[in-house]
Amino acid sequence: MKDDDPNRSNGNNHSAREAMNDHFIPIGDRQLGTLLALWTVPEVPGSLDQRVLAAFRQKVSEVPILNAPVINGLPGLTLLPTQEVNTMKECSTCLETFESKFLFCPIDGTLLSDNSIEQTASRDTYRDPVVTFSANDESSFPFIAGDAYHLTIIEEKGLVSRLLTELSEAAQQSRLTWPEFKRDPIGFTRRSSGAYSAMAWRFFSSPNVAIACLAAILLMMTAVIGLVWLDRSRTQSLAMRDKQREDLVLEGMITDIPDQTKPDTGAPGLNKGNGGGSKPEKEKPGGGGGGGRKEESDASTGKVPPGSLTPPLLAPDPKTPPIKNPALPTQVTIQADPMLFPTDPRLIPYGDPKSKATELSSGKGSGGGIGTGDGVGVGSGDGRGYGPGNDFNTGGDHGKIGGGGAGGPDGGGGDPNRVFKPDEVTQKARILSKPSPEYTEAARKNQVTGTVTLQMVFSSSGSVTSIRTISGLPHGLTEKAIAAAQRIKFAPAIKDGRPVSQYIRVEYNFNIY
Amino acid sequence: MTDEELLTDAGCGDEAAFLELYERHRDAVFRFAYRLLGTVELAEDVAHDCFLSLIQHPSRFDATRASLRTYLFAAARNLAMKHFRNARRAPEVDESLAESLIAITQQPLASLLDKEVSSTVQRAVEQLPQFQREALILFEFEECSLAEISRIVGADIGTVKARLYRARQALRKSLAGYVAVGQEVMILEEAIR
Repeated sequence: MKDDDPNRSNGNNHSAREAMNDHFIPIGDRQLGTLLALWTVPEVPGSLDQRVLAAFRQKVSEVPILNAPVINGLPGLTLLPTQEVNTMKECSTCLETFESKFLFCPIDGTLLSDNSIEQTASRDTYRDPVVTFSANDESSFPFIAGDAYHLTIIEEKGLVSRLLTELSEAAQQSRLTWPEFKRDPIGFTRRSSGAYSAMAWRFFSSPNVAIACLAAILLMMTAVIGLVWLDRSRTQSLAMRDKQREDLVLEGMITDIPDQTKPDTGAPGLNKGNGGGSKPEKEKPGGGGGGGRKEESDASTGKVPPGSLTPPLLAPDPKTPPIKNPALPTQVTIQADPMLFPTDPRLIPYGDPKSKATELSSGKGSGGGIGTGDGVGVGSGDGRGYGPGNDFNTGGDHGKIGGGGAGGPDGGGGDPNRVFKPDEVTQKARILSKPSPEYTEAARKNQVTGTVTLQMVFSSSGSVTSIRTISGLPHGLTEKAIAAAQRIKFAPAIKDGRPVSQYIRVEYNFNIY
Repeated sequence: MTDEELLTDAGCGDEAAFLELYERHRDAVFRFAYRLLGTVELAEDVAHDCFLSLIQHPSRFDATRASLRTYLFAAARNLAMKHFRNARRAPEVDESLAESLIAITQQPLASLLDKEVSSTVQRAVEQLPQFQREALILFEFEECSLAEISRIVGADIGTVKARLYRARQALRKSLAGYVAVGQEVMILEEAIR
């Protein structure tokens, strides 16, 4: 640039000026120029040379030249520690500098760039020392505070105070820039957007700022995606659950929810040979029985007689028809634990339950029982019990009473020896025959009429026990009623598939016709 | 050596290079500052700060944009503007100064060869608006071209021309009684040649 040559001669410059002056300086301006030349300027004071030279020497002595960064080919010099630094902002339009508190140029309204200029003043004010690094450190250079971007904001003022300050500054900037915006809105907007773009570019091009922003964005996106994914998964699971519920059909509403009863622990019985019987301690039962009447056919199938610990008076016989109203009722039994062989209420002939023969037969054995063994029992053993083994009871080997065995697979009614109330059993006892009591002569003479109420127990073994008078009649009518009750034939009550004892109340009416 | 070479050497600690650079531009910067601010003390401070800024931030000078002389003038002008802003007033014209100016105008021949002519011109220039004054000083006293002035003051050449025109018009009006003096001085100079 020709005009920028500082060594140009005054004559050449004067010629150029004369050429320009010919265009716009009217006649008479030469006299004015001569008059202005009479304005003399004092000599440069010697103190200026000393101050400038001292400042230069101080700079050179403070910072090792090797450590100074080279910018545009010129090594930088650090600030004087004894001089005040005023951070200035430069306007890109009018090229003027303003204090850092201005955001917009007060003259033309242009957004001031953050490319601050540090103006120094020769005042003795304190300033933080400049940090320098050793010459051996490759990355060493004079550290300029504010070069690096720091996320930590240390502010002692309160939030409201800072907000008010920001608002007042914004209002001040708006007041300053409004005339310029009004004059040239398009240009103002263009300049402002350009300045903001430059400011954003400087911000993101600062060390680590771009990486930090990218990391923050990735972190936030990961968190958002995770939350969305969790929400969608939860929604899908709820939808699937609702879909399953839709498959159900409503058949009715439950209005009365019955109480859940505790299942019975079950009656003792054979449990894989590990125990069973009426003894309190766990013990494996033993024994067996068998019999037969030396018939040609095998023993027929049927029910096992009830067990009794006493030797049987009658041997079971499939062919023996039941005797109605016997004079001396006698129960067909086997000698076995009654806990294991309760009374079977079924109205079928006696026989071997394991046999498949249907033709009534006592079997090929001997002794009078049923089966292939010898004795009055049932089965292939020898003795009065049931099954292989001998002597009595069941379970094999010699006869003995077991106990403490676990309940059967179908469960049981707890203690089967106790007497149940009618509403506690599965099937109530059914009276098969009820003999009528006889009237006594004394009662007839005295014309006694009325009702005798008795309470008794229909035991699981088929006998009537524990007869007790609730209300009676005189002249032997109560005794006659008890005698008649003892002759009642019944089918025992059933609980959980097993015959059990049951209380029952019976009334006898005595009337004279 | 060019200014750029001297500045490079000065940045490396070459005191001789810096002194040569300083002496090359010292007078111009001081004169310009003095004519803007009007006092030796302020002019000295401004000149000092100009060179101090050059020492501390040599990278701010871009040789592709303007010469070092232009850069220093711009720095001096900005510092002067800062001084005016800090003072929150433009340089005020003393009332007594204006009265004396009128008195001198009434008796031009009596003060023809007096030193007061210099101060009279100074006061007349100081009465000009700030933008007109700096343009006039740069053009008339520092012999800057219009392009240089436009770079220094941050305005286009047309604006600079307008400011110069208005400044001359104002001076012609305020120094009307001294035009004859200037003409006589000019005649004397031509006779001496």
